[in-house]
Amino acid sequence: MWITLILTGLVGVAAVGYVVWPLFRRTPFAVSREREELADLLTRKEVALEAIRELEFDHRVGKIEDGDFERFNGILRRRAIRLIEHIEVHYGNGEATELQSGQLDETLEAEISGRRRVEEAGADEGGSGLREE
Amino acid sequence: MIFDFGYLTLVLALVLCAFGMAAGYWGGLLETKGTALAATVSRRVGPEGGPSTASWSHRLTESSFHSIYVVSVLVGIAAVILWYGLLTDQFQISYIWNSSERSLPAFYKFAAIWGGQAGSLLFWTLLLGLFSTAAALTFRDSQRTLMPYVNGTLLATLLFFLVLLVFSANPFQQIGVVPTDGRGLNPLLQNYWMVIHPVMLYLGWVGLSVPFAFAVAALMSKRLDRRWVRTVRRWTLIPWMFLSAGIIMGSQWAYMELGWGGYWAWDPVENASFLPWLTATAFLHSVIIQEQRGILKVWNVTLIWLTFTLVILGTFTTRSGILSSVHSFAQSPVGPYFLVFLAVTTIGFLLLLYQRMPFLQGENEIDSISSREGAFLANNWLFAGVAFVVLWGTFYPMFSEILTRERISVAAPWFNRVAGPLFLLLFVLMGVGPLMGWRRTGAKALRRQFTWPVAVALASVPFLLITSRNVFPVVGFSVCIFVAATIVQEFARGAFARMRSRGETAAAALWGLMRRNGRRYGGYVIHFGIVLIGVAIIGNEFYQSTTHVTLSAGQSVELSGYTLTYTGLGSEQKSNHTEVRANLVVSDTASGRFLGRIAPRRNIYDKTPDQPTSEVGLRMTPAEDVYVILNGWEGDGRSATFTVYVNPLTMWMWVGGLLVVFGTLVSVWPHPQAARAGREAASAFPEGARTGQAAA
Repeated sequence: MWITLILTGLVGVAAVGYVVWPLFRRTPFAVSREREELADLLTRKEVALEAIRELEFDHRVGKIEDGDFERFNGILRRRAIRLIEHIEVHYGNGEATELQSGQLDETLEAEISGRRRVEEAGADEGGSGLREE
Repeated sequence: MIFDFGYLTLVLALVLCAFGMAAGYWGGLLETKGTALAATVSRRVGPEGGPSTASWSHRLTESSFHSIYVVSVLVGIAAVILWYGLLTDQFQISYIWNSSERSLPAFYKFAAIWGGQAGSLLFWTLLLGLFSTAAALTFRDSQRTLMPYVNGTLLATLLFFLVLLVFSANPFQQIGVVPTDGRGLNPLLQNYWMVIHPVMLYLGWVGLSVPFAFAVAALMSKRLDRRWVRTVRRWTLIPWMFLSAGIIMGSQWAYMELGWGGYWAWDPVENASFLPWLTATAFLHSVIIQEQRGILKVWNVTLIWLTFTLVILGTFTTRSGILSSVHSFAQSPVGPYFLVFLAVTTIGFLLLLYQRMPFLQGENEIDSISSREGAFLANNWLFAGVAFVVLWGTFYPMFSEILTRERISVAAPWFNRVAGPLFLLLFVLMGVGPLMGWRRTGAKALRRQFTWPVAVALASVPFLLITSRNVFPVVGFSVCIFVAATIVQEFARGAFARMRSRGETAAAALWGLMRRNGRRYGGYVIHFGIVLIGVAIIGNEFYQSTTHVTLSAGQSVELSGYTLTYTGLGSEQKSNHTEVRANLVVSDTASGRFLGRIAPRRNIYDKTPDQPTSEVGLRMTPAEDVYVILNGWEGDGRSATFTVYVNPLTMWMWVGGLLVVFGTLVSVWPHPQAARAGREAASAFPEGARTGQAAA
């Protein structure tokens, strides 16, 4: 009985110590509003780019008609450009300047073609290659 | 001594779990408050003016991480101690005395931990601890805002199970004396499928706590953007795969062990595993819509809460004794604890949902019903409809007893009649959905997409009518053919495109498709597996033939083109039971050709000779199974009574199950060149948030 209590006491002290130890440690806090906002924006940008790629694939295999493709493609690209602009302006190496629309279009095209290259011209299968956790 | 220590580790785990849960939620609340404050302060004094609450929030969150690790280790120690007791026949422990015996093979002694009430609750808690630890390690840095609440919710669930173990179902309870032998494991559980099937189900059920915890965290932290749904998709798919595998293995167990000719009886316990599968499947589809279109936010959090609730409800029904079932292995006073937990989680979640409604507005609207999101939405309604039907049918005996004081059960035909048409519609949508594009699919595109699959399905109808004049199987099979054709078309189009553009062989192109876009094509493989399961169900439901016969040695019986000749009875003594085996020769009736031997048997266990179990005799082929049950015998086996079934297409159910698992693995397998997007989102400030630079 005594051995059980001593063993439990030792395990208990170690376990409680490990759990409360962070409360007595001074650590820099890691979460910042900027980081969370940026992560959110990057996710939204990736979703928008993925949606463009899905739309292109659906159009290529005949699931979306030309007229609808033009309309939806325009909507998605404008959304992606808005997000890229926001990221560029607020988090782009401190250059808080408005970008020209031509630059943004180039940036978007670079993003999309970059994905095409990454997927080894895998556009045929409509892959996105985006990472999930 | 060691068992007292085992119990005290559970008590210690309970205390630390309660502390960790409070630390997690408190840390999360301080962080949410701190983030809001930081926003105000940084607007006024710049980004350097952070609030002091942040430091405490971080410390509390860290403490909740440590709690998860410690609780998992403590529960692990308790489980190892119970396993030690089972393997070394420590019958002074009530649980071991009730669930094991000296002559039980070690294989089953190991599995006996989930063969009874307290042990299975401990095993459940262990798995939940492991899942919680895995989630904590995976998302520790990348989901800093959500993790305090995720930890809090996972620890709250762990706390509930630890309360059960400490106060109601202590696996280390001692009986005061040391019996010479145990009472033995339930004979029905002494089957290899029962060793693996509950583990799969538990992995599925327990794993679904993680997406639920993320949903609660997203609601509490008010971060209801698309990040949490992207995060949990893979963490829902993996438990879903285990749950699917568990259900299929349970069906295999019922088919081989229960000896009534089928694999699914709509038994309350079977339904308990199927209900969360239905809502989890709906969730897996609807999160894609939220991810793509930013809509169905309320529906998605509700679905994952329903899934979690149905898991707990299912566990409650199998342990409380409110519904009778062949599977209900335990009845004990844990029922009220489950009811309180269900009430607390339901009220808490609904209040939280109500408070967060302003943050759950959709970002878009559905452009057209004729779109993939339209098909997915309809699929969700149908899944919800089937879940409601199954829930109603499962609990009808309880409702009827409350209302009429008479317990009325609904049997398999009721479920088949009500849920069958809904499943048929679900199958139709399973074919339609992948043919649609996002947002809107016009009439011309619809014609182009549907022509071949519909033509193939229609062409099959005359052939199907040869096999049956009954309209239901003909419609069912033609729908399965339609869905299979859509999947083949999707693969063919993708593969041809690769072959054209890259000059690959057909095999390389198919491999490339699966490797490059596992999420899409893995999903198609899963659909194909479901189609095969559907084919097996239709085959069994509408084309099964059966006979009940008593045969003397040398006599034969004919059924559906098979002749079975009884040649005699044999018996063999095993470690804890006697196997009585009837020998039958199977031949083709028309040609007389020898096809094989079948040996159905009865196992008579030493501890429970009045409860012999049935082990069916089986000859399995892709076309049909010859399935024989030994019901009894006279004298030393001069004559024996059999029930013989010919079950068409049953093998495809197991093949379909394997494909479901394979397809899920393809879906969750990491992309070979994971885009830097995830890395960017995970790191604080990526190497230049400048998107153009990153892409180059």
